[in-house]
Order: sequence, then structure tokens, then C-alpha cells
Amino acid sequence: MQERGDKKELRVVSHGKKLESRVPPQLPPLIQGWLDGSGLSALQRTSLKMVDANLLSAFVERWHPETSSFHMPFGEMTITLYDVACLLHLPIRGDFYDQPLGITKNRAASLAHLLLGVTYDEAIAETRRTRRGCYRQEWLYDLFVRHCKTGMFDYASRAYMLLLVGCTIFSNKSVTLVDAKYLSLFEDLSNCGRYCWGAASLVTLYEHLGNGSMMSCKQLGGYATLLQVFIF
Amino acid sequence: MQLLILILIFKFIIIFNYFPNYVQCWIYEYFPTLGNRVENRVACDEPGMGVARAMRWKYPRGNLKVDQIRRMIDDLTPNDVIWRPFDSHRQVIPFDDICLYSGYLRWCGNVVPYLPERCLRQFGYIQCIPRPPPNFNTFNVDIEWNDCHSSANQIIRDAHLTSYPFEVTDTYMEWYYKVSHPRLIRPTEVQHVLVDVPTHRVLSDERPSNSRLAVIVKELEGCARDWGAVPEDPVFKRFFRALDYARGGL
Repeated sequence: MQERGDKKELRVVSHGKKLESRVPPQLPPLIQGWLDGSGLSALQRTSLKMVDANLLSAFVERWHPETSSFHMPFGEMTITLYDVACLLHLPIRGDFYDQPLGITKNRAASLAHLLLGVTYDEAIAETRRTRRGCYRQEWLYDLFVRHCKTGMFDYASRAYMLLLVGCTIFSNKSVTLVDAKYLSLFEDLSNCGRYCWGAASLVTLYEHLGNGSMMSCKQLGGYATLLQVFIF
Repeated sequence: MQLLILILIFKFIIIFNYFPNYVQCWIYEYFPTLGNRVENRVACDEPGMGVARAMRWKYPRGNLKVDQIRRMIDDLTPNDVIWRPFDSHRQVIPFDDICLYSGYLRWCGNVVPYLPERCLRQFGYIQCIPRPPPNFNTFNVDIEWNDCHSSANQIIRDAHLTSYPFEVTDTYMEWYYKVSHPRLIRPTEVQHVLVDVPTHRVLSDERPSNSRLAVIVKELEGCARDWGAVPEDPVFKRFFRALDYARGGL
């Protein structure tokens, strides 16, 4: 194949271990019902504990965002909708979801107030802490436990489902945060199954792979570094 | 001094990237020769159990360096790939034609191409030279997605089933190396295009890359399995000699 030159090795993060400890052995029947209806219940047990960063890194270099495919020595290959359906048991028919890319701290707080059953002050304290339109996974989990105890199952269910997708298909490189824009997906709990979760996971994955293939390229490395780095 | 501090800071910059772990499962399913994996004893393919296929794998951490894996990927032949790993899972999740929808997918303002016609072998069809990707500016994602059957049916209508898993049309590999591949590599690497491109790399491999031989090997191995034949059995001596010849790619 072509010389690929020097590539930065990617640091890959995963949080399978944490999610596993947060999945309760048995959910309250009402929450279980909503979860089954949404088509997301298999995500509870599919998160894997570790990733082989070197293996992924070598594949990411071969990703081409223009065609959404890995360019292998013998032709193109990709992660298809059927692959996601089998690997994660997500529905691959349904609606796309539209929400503007970014969401402000205040909007995230009022969403949490409305859908997660917290006071506005508590919600704004949380988004001030994360400094953007995000919630901490820990906070969502605490809300889930709290609402389960008091029997507020709709709030508990939203917190749980948001945590679930935030740790798996919509996870991001911040490792501990979940984007607030996904919360409105769970507004109507009995109607979450209408979304095409399989396509959703592919879109997010292709985006990650596209960014990764850009970053693995040395020349672009400096530019990407400015955008997405963590300095310790 | 300031420069020194700056250099020190840059030394500690780590680029983080996140990939959902199921990408790794995907690699394990398709590439049995890559990576370090252990299979879980879970009956994933049992209908009614509701166990997703991602549960199949356990992950001992890999011990290969990126350079080593790159070389392994460069040396892969189509014969090393399990082209349709989820066939055994079809009783749990039946195949849906929507997977052959061709166009763009959208979620939360992100739009990405989804072009199964470029990866037809993964669906059991002969890979031919694909059409150029649809024009993003004139493509209406919602209309096309709602009418996904027309693009899927078009692919199915034009495609032919493979007679062996990695079948491609005569012109595909030439097109892939000469047209698609150089054009699609990153702009910074353009100067390397003129380097001798291994057009027939696949054929020079020591494995039975000759398609007909590969079919023969597959058939013979199937026979051996069906009969429960073992190489030690004198009755099957000539049979296994034939299999060895085929595997040797003579």
C-alpha cells in the first residue's frame, strides 16, 4: 500500500467498566417496559470493558469520510446498518432526530428541570459545573437512584436512558459527560421506539472515525491538536 | 525559558479520541486473524435469548504495536476476511433490505454518507465498480430515507450473488487501485501515488488467492466436515492430498 508516513497514535477512551457497575440487576417494571419499547435495552449488556487502542488506531487510519468506508488492500469495507443491528440489537428503521448541534447551559438546565424533575437551581448548578450544555454521568446516575426511591419513575427512566446512550452509542471523548441535547429524545417515554437508533449510532461513529482519521494524519495533527486536546 | 516550558507542555499533549467499543467487535467479527480475543460462552445466535452479538467477545488487552498491526492489515487478503459474519445471527435479527439504502444518514445536524454499493461483498453480492456518491447538495435525506426501498431495490436489482465470498468483477480491483484509491487518499499523501502500486498483490500471495482454487478448498473442507474425515484415516489419504494441493495454490 501507499506509504502512510508518520502517524500519531490515537489515545482511545472507553467507559464500559463504569456502565456495568451502574446497570442494576433488575429495573422497576415500569422503567423496564419503557426501555424495552425504546429498543435500547440491549445496550445495557453490550458495553465492553476494554478496547485495544492500537488495533483501532490502525483501522482508523484507513477510514475515508468521503465514502464512509475503510480502504483495505482488497477493496472497501464498512460498518453497515445490519452490523449495528446484530452487534447492538438496535432498531434500524425509524425517524431521524433533529436538534441543533450545540445547546446552551441555560437551555440544558431548563430541560433538566422539565424532564428530570430537579429544581431549576439544582440544574443550573450542574451545568455551571460542567461549563457547557452537558450533564455528568455521575449526576444522572444519582438522579436515577433518587427518583427510583421516591417512585418518580418517569424522571428516573429518562435519567437512566440518557446515561445509557451517553455511555454507549453517543459517548464522547470527555469520558464523564453526557450531551444535554439528547435529553429531549426521551421526552415522550412511550414513543422512544420511533427513532432509528441504529442510524444514530452509525452517524456518531462515522463522525468519530472521520475526526480520528484526520487526527492520525501528521500534517493535520497540529491543527486538530488545537481543537481537541487535553493538557495534563 | 518560556520556550522550554512550551516544549514541555507540548510533550504532554495527548490526543484523545473516543470510539464506541463495538468497533472492536466489528473488527473481531470480520477479521479472525487480527487482534487478541477470547470468545465468551454466550449463545448469541440462539433465537429468543435476546443476546446481542457484541456479547460474544472478551478483551484481553492487545500486545501488538501499531506498526505491527499496520503491516498485518497491509498483508491481509480477501480470503482472511469473514465477509458475512452475521449470517448465523439471522434467526435472531432477520436481514432487512433497508441496510442497502444508499445515500446519507442524519442525526442531530450531522450528515454522513452511507454507501453500501461500495461494500457489496458484505451483503453477499459481487463487488462491481460503484457509482460516484450522490451529490450532497441536491440530496434530500428525509425523502430518500422514507423511500429507502427504491435505492435498496436498485442495488439488489443490479447486483449478482457471489459464488464465493470475496468475488469481484474483473475490472473492480484495477479501478480500486488506479482510480478510487489514489484519489481518495489524503491530500498530503498524493506524492506517494506514483510509487509502484501493487495491482496484483492479491494474486502473488501464498494463500489460494486464485478464486477457483479458493472455491475448491472451501468445498473440500465442507466435505471433510460433513464426513467427519480426519487426515490420519488412510481411506481419505488422497482426498487430503488433493486438499493440500488446492491450499498450496498450485
